[in-house]
Amino acid sequence: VISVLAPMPVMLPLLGAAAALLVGGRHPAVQRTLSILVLAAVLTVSVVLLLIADADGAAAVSVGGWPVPLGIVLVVDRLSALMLVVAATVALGVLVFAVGQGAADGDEETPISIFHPTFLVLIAGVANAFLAGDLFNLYVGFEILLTASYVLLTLGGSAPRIRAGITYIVVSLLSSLIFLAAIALVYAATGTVNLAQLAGRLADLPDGTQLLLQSMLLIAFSIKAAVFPLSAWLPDSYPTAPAPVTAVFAGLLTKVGVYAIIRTQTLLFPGGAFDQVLMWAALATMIIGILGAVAQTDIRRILSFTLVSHIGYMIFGIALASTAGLAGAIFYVVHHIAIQTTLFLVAGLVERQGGSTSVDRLGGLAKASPLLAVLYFVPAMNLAGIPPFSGFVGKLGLLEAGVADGAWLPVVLVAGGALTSLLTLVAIARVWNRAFWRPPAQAPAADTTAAAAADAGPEIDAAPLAVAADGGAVGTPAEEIAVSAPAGGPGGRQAARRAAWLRHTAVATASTPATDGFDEEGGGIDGDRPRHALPGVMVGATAAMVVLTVALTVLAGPLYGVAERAAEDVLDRTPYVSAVFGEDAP
Amino acid sequence: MSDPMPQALILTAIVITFGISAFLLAIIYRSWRLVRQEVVGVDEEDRRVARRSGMDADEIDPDELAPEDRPAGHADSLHSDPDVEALLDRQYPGIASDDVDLPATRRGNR
Repeated sequence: VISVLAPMPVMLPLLGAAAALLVGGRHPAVQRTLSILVLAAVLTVSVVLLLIADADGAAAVSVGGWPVPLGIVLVVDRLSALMLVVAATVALGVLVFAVGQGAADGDEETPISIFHPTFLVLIAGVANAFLAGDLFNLYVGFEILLTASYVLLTLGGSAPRIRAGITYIVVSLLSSLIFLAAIALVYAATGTVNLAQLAGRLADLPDGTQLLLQSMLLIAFSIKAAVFPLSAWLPDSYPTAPAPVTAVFAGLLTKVGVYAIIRTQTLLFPGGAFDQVLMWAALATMIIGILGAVAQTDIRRILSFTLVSHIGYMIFGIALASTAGLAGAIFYVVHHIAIQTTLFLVAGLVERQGGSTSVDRLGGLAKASPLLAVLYFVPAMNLAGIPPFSGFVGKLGLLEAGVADGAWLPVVLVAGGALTSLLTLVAIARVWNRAFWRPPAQAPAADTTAAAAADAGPEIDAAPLAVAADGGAVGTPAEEIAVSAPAGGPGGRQAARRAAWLRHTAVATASTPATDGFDEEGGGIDGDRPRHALPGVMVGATAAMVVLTVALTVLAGPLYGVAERAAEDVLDRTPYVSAVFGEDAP
Repeated sequence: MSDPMPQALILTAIVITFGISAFLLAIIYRSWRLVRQEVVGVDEEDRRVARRSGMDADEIDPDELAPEDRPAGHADSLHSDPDVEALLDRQYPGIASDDVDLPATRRGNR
């Protein structure tokens, strides 16, 4: 059974992407249904794989029947199956959200026929990276998902997205080059790229060579996972993308890097040579990331910084290299994928409802949309680690593991982790207080009609003519004034200036791009503009994700059990190796 | 007989990197086009900033300023600085003054 099922999470999305691309132009509805069905199938397969892997242990599949060290091997163990399930769940939620958004916006802004196939390719890449049984296949998986992410990030090709995309592409390309160079060196040193075979052969290498290879792999994966000194690219590139894209990036892409770090630190180099370095990196990631979040005013940037910051928790768990630490890290990865994706989806809804993601411009959202407030509040508290939620369970597991380690450095990290948790609460409580709780009138720069009118120019009230509703008609009378003005003295000059200013503003207001979702000019004074109801599908998808994050809390017991067994497997290494080579490991 | 594995791996890597480089070049070209595009958009932030100062700088008539607020050494100033002129005269005798400002006029009277 497993030899049929294991390639499915990679095969299905790739075939689905091809089919979606074919039908895309003419039948958008077919394309949407197809993508959702494919992802639902991937989710089902992943759940079955997790059940099999949890019952029977790890299993390996040689694709195409090539003998093991040569061919492509897909390995399903508890860790990779668990990651697959979470990735497929999150991807499905985001895709439904995106379909809802596309239906609400009329598909004009983004070339939607590209979005669905690319999204499916992204999922195929993520699944391939999780299942890869050799370093080179891992590299190919990374490249598949990165290429898809380049397209998704620069969707539409507007100036800010291109600017963010270039940073992202260059940084990712650099990390891929380091990874590729590391693979070449690994092959030169050991004569294999198969992970299970490497697990045996790398230990025979001289210490210096091992350190070099390990550091190169760690640097490559740390760039992708956004560990502190290598994380500066993330907050600059993620927030500009469309809401569903940011959500799936934030949830999945960095976690693939974390997954690769777990494999490197346990399967390939179990000696723990870089544990101290990783702990310091984890501490810096947590503290500096969350300080960045506290300083921001844009919800998406705040969330991007908390994303960076909470990567530190996972690195901390990996660096502990104990079963408890790894189990905490794995549970935290699962929790964080779900929670971060949900929060970015909520940020998308906030932007749609309030017209902005800057907390300086928002206000009164709790009154305007109580449902949205609940949808933000629950995952936000979960992220900060307030007791009943899964964030608390994950953090508690990690902190306990840190205390149990006994050395002084983990204790420092425990303190840092607690501090980070509190600062996360500060950051998201500021968003709550400003965007949701305060009355809109208190917003210092609210996007109200009055503010828009005031922005139109300082002299607009003193002007002899009022700006008509359609800006195009204003151009002519303003020009008349401009022509008649230069006759007089200084007064004439001022009138000419005023007319020029009027014409300028008239042209400017006429060319104001229509904001999707609501009408900027309509509505009364003081922010009471009519708010269109949020599209039901988007709210439904987000609500389902919120329910999922709460379900993680309810199911924390069994889930933590799986995470612990996965951590034992990963630390033991023999299940993985014997799954690939049979019982007679080389 | 050389090892076929590195060749297969390198070829795959070349194909991948070639594709990504092509994409990167396309993005850079797009960025180049965007940078050269001369479109003056509506910048809400700019208008908010503009609203903060009561008056535009180029709305200020220099003649209405107090003499000490005027920029020195320009035609707008009503007189050249006699102290500086005297000092220059002492230090560089025989060299004509380079203060070639035209006599001040009330431009409003034109």
